[in-house]
Amino acid sequence: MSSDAALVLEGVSKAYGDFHAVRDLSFSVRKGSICGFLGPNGAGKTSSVRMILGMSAPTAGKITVLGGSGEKMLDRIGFLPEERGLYRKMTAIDVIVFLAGLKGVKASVARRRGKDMLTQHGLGDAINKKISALSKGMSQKVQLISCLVHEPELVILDEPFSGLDPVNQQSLEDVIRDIAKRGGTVLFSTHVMAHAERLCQDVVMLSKGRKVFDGTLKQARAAAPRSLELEGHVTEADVRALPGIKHVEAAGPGEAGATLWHCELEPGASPHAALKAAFQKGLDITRFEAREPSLHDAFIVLTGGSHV
Amino acid sequence: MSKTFLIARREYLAFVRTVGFWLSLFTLPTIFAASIFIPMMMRQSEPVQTVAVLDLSGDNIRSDMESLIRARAPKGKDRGMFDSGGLKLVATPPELNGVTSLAEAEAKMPQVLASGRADTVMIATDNGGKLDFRIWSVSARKGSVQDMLQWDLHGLQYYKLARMNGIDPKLAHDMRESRAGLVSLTPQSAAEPKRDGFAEGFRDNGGKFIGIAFSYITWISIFSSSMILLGSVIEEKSSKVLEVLLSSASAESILLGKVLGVAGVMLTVAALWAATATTLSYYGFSVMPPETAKEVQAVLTGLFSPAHIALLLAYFCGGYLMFGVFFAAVGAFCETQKDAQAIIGPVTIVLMIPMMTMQVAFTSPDLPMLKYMSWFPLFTPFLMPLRLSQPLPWWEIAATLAGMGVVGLFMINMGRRAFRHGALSGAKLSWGNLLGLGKREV
Repeated sequence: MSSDAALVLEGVSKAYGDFHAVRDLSFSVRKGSICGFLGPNGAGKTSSVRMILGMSAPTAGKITVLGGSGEKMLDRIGFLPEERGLYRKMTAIDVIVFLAGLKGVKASVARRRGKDMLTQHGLGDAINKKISALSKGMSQKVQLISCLVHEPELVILDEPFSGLDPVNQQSLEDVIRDIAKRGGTVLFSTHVMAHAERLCQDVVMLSKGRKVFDGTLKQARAAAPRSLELEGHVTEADVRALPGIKHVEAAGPGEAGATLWHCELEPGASPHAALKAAFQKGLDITRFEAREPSLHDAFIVLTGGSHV
Repeated sequence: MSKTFLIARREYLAFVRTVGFWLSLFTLPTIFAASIFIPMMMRQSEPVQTVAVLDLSGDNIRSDMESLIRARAPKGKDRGMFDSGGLKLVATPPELNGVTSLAEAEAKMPQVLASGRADTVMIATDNGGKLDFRIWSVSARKGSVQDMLQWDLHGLQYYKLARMNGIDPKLAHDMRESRAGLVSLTPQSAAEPKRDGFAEGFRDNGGKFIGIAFSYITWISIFSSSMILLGSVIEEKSSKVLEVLLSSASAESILLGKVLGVAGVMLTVAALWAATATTLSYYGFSVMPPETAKEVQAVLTGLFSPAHIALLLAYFCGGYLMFGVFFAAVGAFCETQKDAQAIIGPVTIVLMIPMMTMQVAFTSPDLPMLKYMSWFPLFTPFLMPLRLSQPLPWWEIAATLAGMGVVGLFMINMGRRAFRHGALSGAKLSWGNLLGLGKREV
């Protein structure tokens, strides 16, 4: 086990009767990193997160959080659940103080930090308002502050962007980057690849309860083939004959009667080689574009085409 | 500050800070006090009733009738808590002077009563050797003089009959007043000094009254606190707060915190009600004859020995733990109260069974059936407070406490699993789900 790992899962499985939610899951998250925990709905992300937090016990395997395990570790973790929930009859600051208290923070400290954070997030006027009087977006901010007010070393965010408008999504991305900047570790689950692509250094991908990828963002992208878009007065057979082309499909009509072709390249194949061969053959190519694979592409490949 | 305590404190404050809590808190003592004091105040405010007599019986019983009314004269400052206003003899209204027949007298009654010279006019007649008393009153007073004097008026007929049969009036009086001596004894009561009537009765039956009162209080407290717990957990489950709590504290801490928090609410209720009861008792003692008050206080002191109080508390705690944890665990599976009904309905019916025995149990607290039922741990907290009014062997107390303890621990273990399982899953509540928890870890 690496000593600079904030979280280590070793051969973790979880079964509910005959249903296996998680199978033999192993990965680690480096301290100070932002790790995306990716997978389609039902992939086993939430079950894994609940095991990490000790809410449910693994059927098999071992989980080490911040070098230890057990209830005491919970005080060093911040958790934002997928389904947000706060006491509606309590004020924003009282909720924050109460939840911070459960993490071992003194009420006076929690109150001071809570007020500062609420003000920073534009909720200075809502400090003493009841949760029931706040908008959904404001409540979500209060929940996020509750999850961070005890200055956790490991922050676990389960689908943190769901239900947020674009402005708040951007604001949350900034918060996540800030946590990492001050040395905290972030593990966040999502099925929206764009957020992971902008935030993560490392990603772990799950599909049907199994890990299908564990590595850096760059490695993940490399798992997907590069592609080439060609536009011109050429046939499918012309394109298919080019070197390194694995798959060709028409992507739509081009300009002045031309056709736009989307070409998937063989692993390791160079788009330059294909272009060079096309010009050598004298094909009428009017436009071309070599595309690097996105995390979304990698996800589709790695999860075997599971819906995102 | 431990997590359990923090959760308990939040739970407690969430209830006691609501207006509804304080309203409901004061409702029961207010109703209780009102049911005692309002009738008392009404009696106290009852005016003195003026009564005139008209003797048409030919037996010359006017002075006897007047004596009966004078004996019910207002007591002034010595008037008791439940004494009515009393009667005041007034002169026969002049409209009735010279009247010789009942028909003539009754024809004038509307006019006499309307004049306000008397609220009631009592007319005595002879009906073939039997006295008839026709008591005319303004409508608001109808029947009240009859209620007060009927036994004495029957006495006048008794003496008339004795006279007619040549019985010596003194002998007739002695015969009428003569009573057999009736005394109910137990070895315990026989060994204690003689007390006055009320205190004696209280000593003999007070234990049963208090036992049955505690059985009801225990039932109401456990049932209402369990329902509070159920509602609280359902609210947290439906608002998704439970998962947030579980990320900070163990299921055991949350469950125990909630149970303690609601116990605190119940203690607040109990403290207030106890204070009300104590105040009412002191008021009651102040209006009782001093000797009776002293005797009743002595009996109460005997009944509420520290050991007795400790046992009552132990049975309450055991019952609260068994049912409270169960209701909380059920709540973890439910998004609404309606979801919980499938489980809570049958459990409530089971809870009702011991209460159905109360009426019989009061008259015969030593019935074998009652004893066996009190050994069943789910009924123990409700039936043992009643049975404690009788001397019980120590092993029976120990066995019932142990039985309750075992079931309580089982409930906590099951409740912990059920709570965690219910809080995290969207599983529908069913008996199968609950019972299946014994076989697997969540």
